[in-house]
Amino acid sequence: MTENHDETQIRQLFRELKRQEERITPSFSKNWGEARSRHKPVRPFQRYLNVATGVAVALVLIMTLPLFRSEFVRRPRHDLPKVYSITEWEPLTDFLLEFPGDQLLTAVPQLDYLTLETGRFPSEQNPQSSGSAL
Amino acid sequence: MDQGISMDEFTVRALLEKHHVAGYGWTLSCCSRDPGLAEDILQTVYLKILQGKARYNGRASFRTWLFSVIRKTAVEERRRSFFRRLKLREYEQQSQQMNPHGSFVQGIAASEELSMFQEALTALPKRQQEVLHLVFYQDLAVQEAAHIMGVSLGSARTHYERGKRRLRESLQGTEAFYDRESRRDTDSTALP
Repeated sequence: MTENHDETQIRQLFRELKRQEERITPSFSKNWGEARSRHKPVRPFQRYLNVATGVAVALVLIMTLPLFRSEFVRRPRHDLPKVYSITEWEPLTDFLLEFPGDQLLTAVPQLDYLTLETGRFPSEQNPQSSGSAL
Repeated sequence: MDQGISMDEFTVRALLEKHHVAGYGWTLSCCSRDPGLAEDILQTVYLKILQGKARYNGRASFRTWLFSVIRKTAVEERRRSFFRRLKLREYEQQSQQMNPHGSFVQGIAASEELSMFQEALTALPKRQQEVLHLVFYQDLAVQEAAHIMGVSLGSARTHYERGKRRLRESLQGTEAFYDRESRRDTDSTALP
């Protein structure tokens, strides 16, 4: 089988396929009509309206932008919340870490002079005997 | 964007009508011979032309330009989302139910020879299918086919040769070729 012969065979098969497909081709008027029904031409007025709306929105944005910017610049400094340094700052729940008897552990007890001398606590000392001794 | 030749709707319509059948054949080739999808793609192409999204620039013949637009649209259609494809299938099923052309499609499938040929054709890579269709079906030169496909002439020639060889190989064992051969032989012997 020569190559030219094959080519003729292929061509013939394609022709048959074409003949068959031509029969199922939908009418042009149907396809064109459906495409036309899907087509919504944009009216000139509508186009102008769209452009005008876009321009108006852009103008409003351009005009209001400096206002926002100046508002930000003019804001006084004292309005800003105070920022504590890390050494000053105390957490709000810090008290929860404190022990009930924390002061006893950290403070040194004060003993009065008499107790040191007599070796007795004031509750143990008899006021009468001490008075007679004096 | 190309400036495009200013043509009134009447002229465009006349030109499109002239190439409608060939355009439909090419659309079928671009969408795996799916008649419903081909019709949808062709409508989209006409819509693009109406909207001015596709404009004829006069650089190539009107048919070449139209075929390029069809090819591009078919490629876009293939890239669409999964849901869109599902919708199209639904539409196709509906149109097949309503469309009397459905019987013609079955008629084609009934022709064993042609269905074998179609199978062999669709088994080819896309580029090879395209170039073979344009050359053998549309009777275009390889150069025009290259223009439509958006590839170089050398590349189109390579696709053409490879496609032809592969198609020949896949058809040689089938009855499509064998029957044709035997018919040809009997015809030639019958002749005086």
